Amino acid sequence: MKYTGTLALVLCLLVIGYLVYDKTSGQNLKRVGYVDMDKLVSDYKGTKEATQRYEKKVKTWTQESDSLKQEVMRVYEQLRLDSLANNTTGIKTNVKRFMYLRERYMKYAQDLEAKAGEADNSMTSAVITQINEHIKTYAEQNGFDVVLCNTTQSYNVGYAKARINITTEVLTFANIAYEGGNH
Amino acid sequence: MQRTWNILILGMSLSALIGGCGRTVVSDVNAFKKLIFKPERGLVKEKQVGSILYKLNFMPASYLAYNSCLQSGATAPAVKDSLLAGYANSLTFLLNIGPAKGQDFDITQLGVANYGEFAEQLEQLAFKAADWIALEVNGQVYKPSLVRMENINALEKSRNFMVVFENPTVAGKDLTQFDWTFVYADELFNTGVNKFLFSKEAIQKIPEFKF
Repeated sequence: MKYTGTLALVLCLLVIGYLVYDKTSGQNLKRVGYVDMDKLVSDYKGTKEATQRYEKKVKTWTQESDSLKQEVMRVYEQLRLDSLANNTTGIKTNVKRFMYLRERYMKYAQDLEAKAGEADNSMTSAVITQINEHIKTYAEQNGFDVVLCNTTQSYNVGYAKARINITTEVLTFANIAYEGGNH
Repeated sequence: MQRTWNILILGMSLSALIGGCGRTVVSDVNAFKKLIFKPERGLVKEKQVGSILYKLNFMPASYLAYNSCLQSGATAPAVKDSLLAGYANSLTFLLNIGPAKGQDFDITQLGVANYGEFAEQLEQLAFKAADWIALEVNGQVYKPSLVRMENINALEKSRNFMVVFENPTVAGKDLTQFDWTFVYADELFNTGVNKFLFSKEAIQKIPEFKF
């Protein structure tokens, strides 16, 4: 009974000591996570929609190119018939038309390749920018100090425990954000 | 016994009345603005992608009609009713495109190297934006009937776009029964497809503005 006061004092000091230790040691802890960027990019809804939009665009361009090609072939066929029939007036007119259309088609086909490449780059870069933004927001909202990214081209994380792999969480977060939802 | 019945009927009528009048009625414009422009109410959306910040506000018909009355000086009830009816047939949004937080550049000059490119960028913003905007409601896609860039030569860093969708209807159903998704598929600043979701709860909670 006579030691009760001393015991209470020791207990109090222990609790205070623990609380101080817990608070100060927590400040030095860095929360780290890593994401599998390839999975994030391929399963992100924004990638799927961007790919669909890109394919739709390329399809339209290809259709235009195809119709131009058909027109070139049609004039060529006419030219062949004119030649067989020895129709000099027809040949004269259609040669000019054929040359003009062929040049237009060649240029269009060449531009199409460049345009498709440009659109592809632009689409990829936009998707990556969006994903980076989502990673940043997720990290800020969930108290992460560092988020590392692994890709097949650049393997930044040699080893990490599975518990710090936050790919699924970031993906869910990113997909909700993409659809315009709030977190 | 008769008195108990009377109280019961009165109680039921009051409950029905309260239930039927779910929308708050506001008559002061500042109070209304505070309500509709409060982010928590879900009518103001923000999205930052890279160096660009998108801000989107849904503009209720009554607020637009009030502004029109204010600008034209019209006070006659007939004019007010006609304006209200006109705006009620469409959905209007105010889209603001500007630099992200902490960035300082004029959006019209982003990525341009010379006057020619600047003029082209301005032209695309003014005339092409309509091609990149859509509203998705219950699986249906609506294209805007009007997209107007508001502050073309302004000194601000951002630009406003008034976007109007005329008569969007979902097979005779009230549009407020569905979530709305405003889509801005950017082709200028490389920020991709940006979606802004307006939940039906937020839309149904828009207070009634009487002026």
